This record gives sequence, structure tokens and C-alpha cells, in this order.
Amino acid sequence: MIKLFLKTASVLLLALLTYALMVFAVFFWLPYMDSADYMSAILDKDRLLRDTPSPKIVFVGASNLAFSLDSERVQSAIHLPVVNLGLHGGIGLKYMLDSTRPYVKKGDIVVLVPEYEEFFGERHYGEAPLLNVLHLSREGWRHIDSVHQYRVIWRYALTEMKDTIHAVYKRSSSSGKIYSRESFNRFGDMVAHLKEKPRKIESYGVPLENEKFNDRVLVDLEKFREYSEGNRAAVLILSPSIAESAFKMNHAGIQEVYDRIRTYDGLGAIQKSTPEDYVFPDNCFFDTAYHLTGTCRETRTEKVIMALREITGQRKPVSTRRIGSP
Amino acid sequence: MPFNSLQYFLFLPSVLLLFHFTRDRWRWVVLLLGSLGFYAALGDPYLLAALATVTMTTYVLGIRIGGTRSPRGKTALLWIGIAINLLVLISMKILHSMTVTGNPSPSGIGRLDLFPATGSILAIGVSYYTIQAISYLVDIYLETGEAESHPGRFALYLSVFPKILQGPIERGRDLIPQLRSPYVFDYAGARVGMLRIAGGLFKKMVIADRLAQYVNPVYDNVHAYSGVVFIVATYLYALQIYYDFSGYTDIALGSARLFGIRLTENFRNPYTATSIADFWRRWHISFSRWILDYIFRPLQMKFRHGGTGGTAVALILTFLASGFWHGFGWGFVVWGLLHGLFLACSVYYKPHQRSIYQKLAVTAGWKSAIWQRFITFHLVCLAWIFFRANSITDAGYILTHMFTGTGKIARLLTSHERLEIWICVLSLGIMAFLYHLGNRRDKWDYLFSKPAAVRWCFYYATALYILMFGKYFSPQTFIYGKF
Repeated sequence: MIKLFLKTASVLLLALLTYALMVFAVFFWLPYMDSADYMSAILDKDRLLRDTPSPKIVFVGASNLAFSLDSERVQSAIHLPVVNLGLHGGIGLKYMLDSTRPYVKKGDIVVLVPEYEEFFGERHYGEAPLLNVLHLSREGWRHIDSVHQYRVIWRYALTEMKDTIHAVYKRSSSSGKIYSRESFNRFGDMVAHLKEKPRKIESYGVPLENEKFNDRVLVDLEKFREYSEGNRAAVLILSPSIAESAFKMNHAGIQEVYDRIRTYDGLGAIQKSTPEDYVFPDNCFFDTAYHLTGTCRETRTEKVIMALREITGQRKPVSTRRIGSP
Repeated sequence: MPFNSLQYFLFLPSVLLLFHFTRDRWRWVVLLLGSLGFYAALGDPYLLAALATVTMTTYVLGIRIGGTRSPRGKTALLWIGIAINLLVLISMKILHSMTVTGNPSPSGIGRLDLFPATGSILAIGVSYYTIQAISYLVDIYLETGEAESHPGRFALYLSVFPKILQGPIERGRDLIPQLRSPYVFDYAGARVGMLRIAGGLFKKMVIADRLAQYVNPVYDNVHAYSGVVFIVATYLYALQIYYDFSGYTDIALGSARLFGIRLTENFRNPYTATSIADFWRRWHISFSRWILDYIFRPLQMKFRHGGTGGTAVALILTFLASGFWHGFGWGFVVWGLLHGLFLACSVYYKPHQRSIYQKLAVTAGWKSAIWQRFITFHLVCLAWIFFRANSITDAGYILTHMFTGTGKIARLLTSHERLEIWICVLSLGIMAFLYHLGNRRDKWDYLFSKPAAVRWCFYYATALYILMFGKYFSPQTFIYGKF
């Protein structure tokens, strides 16, 4: 019996070790598949965050920030340097918060704009794009401290492995495409899409209410707030820009996110907008229900500036409208 | 605790070690407590109550039937036993149905929605041990089996954990003697057990759960698709349900083997069947034997004066009952009815088969065998549509739209990474290769006759393959666990 157990355990251990070595080799030995692709912009954003002196304004969130914010305008209006870290929701809000935290200093204003999906299921811990980030930046591994994130790594390691090996013999570059590293400006805003015609919105996302709300997101947001305020930095939470159709389709889920943040001790006070404040007509969106373009992007930026002025005390803010109010 | 969970792979070695190092006279206690713990881990007190009711009544009635001399008394006790077991089965099915039919299908005729939805009540395993209890009582009544006097061993017969959730459905005369005989650790048997567990995980986690990600979106949203997508999804479902259920069975048989128990084989390459009758000799064998012995034969006897017609009616009724056994849904009823009709037709067709073949100039050989397999497989797939569809309306929609163009096949196939399709193809290829290696016993002998290095490479490659390609993060429940 013991012999059988030992043999089985050795086979399993050997297989586990092999897989771990394969994953290690992909992340630490093989180069990232395309250093010009969209995800590679994380390196520029990290550098921007590191090199921008405090006090500064840091936007933390997903692609709705990348596509739908004019940071230059924010900088001119608030007179503080701006770092737009928005890139991809699949990185996971947990990683976004953890990787921003060491650079939050006295006088900074951190604007958190989590997309609604982050609050449901396990998305808070990331998806395949988290592995892209870890492949690009070894520094990123320092921010992996949750079993859930290791589960994400295990789950998507095969995809990353396949993509990397595929790229080794089929070199391709994202250069010249909208979704590429070069499409960002010096603040971290995506600008290449501004000259393009809007595309058909392919998906309005999954109905959020079908999934379980992840309370851990609120805990992590609260921890981030505590840390930042301990460093004498200000934190505020704003809603992401979203297409009207997506908003209607996911109204129950979005309402839940809003209510849970509002009633969570320590977060309600820093929530500075309602979801409805950032709902835009469908024709304002470039390719997804989160990516604004044209004048709507400017309108969104204007609303963000208003919220920031409330924090900096520059001007009395325009009161936000509650869900359901006329 | 499902077989494809981490908890199970912590539970199994723990119970096994405890069982192995316990004195022989107390081993049944370890196994019984382990089995009850395994069942209790599902977290529904109703389940344990139902199991306790069935165990106690069947045990007492079994002893009483065995000890009663009066034929009328025996018959009365048998019917009381059958009634109690059926009552438990139907009650649990209804309670479960009340939960799962909280959202009736839009057409309102998807399920037999008799009651509004309330709390969550599971019925896992009830279908299996209740019919096992019925067969136990019938065998004692017919004097083809003996009543077990040891209450602990009898409880173990109904609840031993490898088979409690989804079978195989064991006869008392096959399993109880194994539970009585002293346990001797058999290294070769345990090694086969381990390999069968690995094979089951391969089937379930690598193949079935991967196929589910293509089948579920189609069957759960039929109006979004049309045409060939339905054909592809139905073929994939046929594969999914086979690898899901046979994967479960492999894990069950492998786990039992570690404890020195041999359970009944449930599958023998069912999709190579050359007729529907042959299919039922290869698919869910323990269940098809049960319905043959305990439903079909008594009905056939009852209708014996009806000749061929009587047999046909008995077959239809038997498979209708089989449909109801799967659940209170019209889909299962139609599925059972279809299989009954196929078999009833074959009763009329069989005597003329040879002359039809002669008229068509079809000679018996590999070509006709392939043709028979092709037809049988497609008849089975036709019935699977009703089995899988969420409602009769959905099944009707699929049937009326499956030949209307290509549908959105590209959308379906690109809904997941291309790598997923390649893993499916590779894994199915491996299964096809193993099928060609011959029957199971030969395969193990073949493997064990190889040098240690080859064997270890095989073990290692299997473990690595499951580790790399298994679907751990969105595991599907076992399909037959619902029944």
C-alpha cells in the first residue's frame, strides 16, 4: 500500500514539477510574444508611474480609462501631473491596486475607476491578460500574493505558453494597429482610435446579475484607501463610462455594485459619482461598451475634472444624480 | 463531494489508509463511516434522511421476506418494500423538481411543473440506491438472493461511496459477498484501480468538460443558432455524455478496486453498437440489466398472450419508466419513449431482417456493420436531443432547424481558443487509439508487460496530460449525478 502511495505521489510530483518548469521557462526564459502589442504598454505605464513626481493624479482602472479619458486636459485643469494606468480589465483590479500602492505618495490623488465586471465572480484576480503582464514585467510577480491569482496563472499558463511558442516561429508585430503600444500618448491615454470611425459594438458583456458578487473587491478597495490616506494621499471612486444599452442590460448588477460601495464602511464617502453620471449613448462608443470616442470622451473628461475639483477644492462640484431620480 | 474535486482526492487516500491499517473486523465501520461522510458532504440533510429510511426499511423487510413462509405474506412485504422505496424516490424527485423548475421554460411545457419553487433540495444518488434496494427485495422474494443479516454490511451495500452517487447499480448477490470477505491488499488490482481513476479524470476533465463548453451555449440558447450548429452540438453532446458518465464510472470502479471491491462495468464502447438493443447492452449496463430484469421481464410475462405486440408494449413501457427514472421532464419521457419505440420496431423488423438484406443484396460484413453502426448512432443522437434540450419546445426547434444552412458554426467553433479544439481532437484520438488496443484487460496486461521505464513514462505522461489540459477552473457537474 505504502509503495503504491509513494509511487503515485512521485508520478504526480514529477508531473507537477514538469508543468511548473514549463511555466517558469515561458515566463522567465522565452521573450514576450510581441513587444509592440497593446499589453506591452504596461511597461510604459509602469515607468510613467515610477517617474512622475508627487503630487500627481493617478487613474487606476481598465480599458475604459485608456480609451475614454483626456489626461492632458485633466492636467491643464487641475494643474497636477497625470498618470493614466488604464489598460485592460483582465489584469484584475487586485493587481492594479497592488502594483499602484508602492507609488502612492503624499499629496497624490488616486482615482479608482473599476469596471463593473470586476465585482463579480473571480475577475478581481485577473484573467489571461494578467499573465501577459507577468510575462512582460518580472517586477509584477512581487504583487502576486493571492491563491486566486495563482489559480489564474495556472489556468491561463497553457494559453500563454502556446502563444509564446507560436510567436517564436511566427514573428508578428502589432505596430501600426490601433491596439498597439504606440497608440498611447505620454500620459497613458489611447489616442489612435480618435481618428477612426466607430466600429460595431460586438458585445455588451455578460449579464452581471447571473454571477456572484465578490465581497473581497470591497475589502481590497478599502485596504487601498486606508493605505493611501495613511500616506496622506486622496482616493476617490468614479464610475466607468458605459454604453446605454449595456447599462440597461446590466442595470441590476450595476445597481448592486453602486449600492454595495455606497453602504460599505469607508468606501461610501469616497464614491463620487453614480453609474448614471457616466452613461453615454451607444453611438459615443468606439468598439466596446466601455471605449468612448470623439466628443463624448471630452464630456466624460469634463465630468472627471468636476469630481477632481471637489477633492482639490478648486470649484464647487455639480451635484451627482442618484439612480432612479428624474 | 464530486469525484472531480480536490476534496475527493484528499478524502480517498485518507479513508483508504485508515481502512488498510484497521483490523479486518472493523473495516466495514471505516468504510461505512467514510461513505456516510462522503454523502453527508453534499450538505443536504434530506439526503441522509432518505438513505436512512431506505436502508432501515429494506433491511427489516429483507429479513422478514426471507423468514416468511406464507407466499401471500411474502408478496405483501415485497410490495410494502417496493412502495416505500418508490415513495422515497418519487418524493425526493418531486422535492428536487420543485427546486430546479423554479424557472419554468418559456413555453411552460419544459418540465412537469407541478409545484412552485422553494428551497434547494438535492436528490443525488437516491435514484440509484432505491432501485438497488428494490432489486435486493425482489431477489430475496424470488429466492435468487439472500437477506443480509448484518445491518452494517447491508447499509454499506447501499451506500458504499464509490457507487452511491451514480452507480453502478449493484445486485446484492454480487456486492454483499465482497463486503463480507476479508480484505487482502492486492497490489496489481490497486494499480489498475489507480490507472482507472486517472483514465476517468482524463475522460471527464480533459474531454467531457471541454466538449461541454461547445454544447452548453447551443443547447442553453437554441434560438441564437440554427442549421449545422445543432448537428455538431448534438454529436458533441453524444461524446460529452459518454465521456462524462464513463469517466465517472472509471473513477468509481477504480476507487472501489483500491478497497478490494469489484463493481460492475457500465460501458462497453456503446457507440459501436449495431442496433438499439446492442446499444443497451453496452450503455449504462447495470441500469439496462436492472430494467430488463425488474421491469421488462415481469411486463413481458404479463403481456405474454399478446405475442410480438405484447413484447413491443412491454418494451415501450419499460423505457418510459426508464425516462421517468431520469427525472420528471417531458424531455426524458420522450427520450425513453423513443428508445422504447426503436426497440418495439426492431421486434417487428428482426424476423424480416435477413430477407430484407437479401432483397437489398446487402451481405453481412464490415460494410453492413458500419451502416448499422451509423444508423444506430444517429437514432441514439436523435433521442439525445430530447434528453439534453431544456424543453420540448427547444428540442422541436432544434429538429426543425437543423438542416437550415450552416448557422453560426464559425461563431461556435471560435467561441473558445483554437487550442481547445486541438486538445479535444488529440484527446479523442488517444481514446480511439486505446479502443483499437483491444479490451480493457488486454490493455492493462499489455501495459504491465512493458519494462518499468516504459510504464513510468506512460504514468508520467498521463499525469502531465491531465494536469496540463484538465478543466479545473470551470468544472461541470457529472451529468448522471442529476438523476
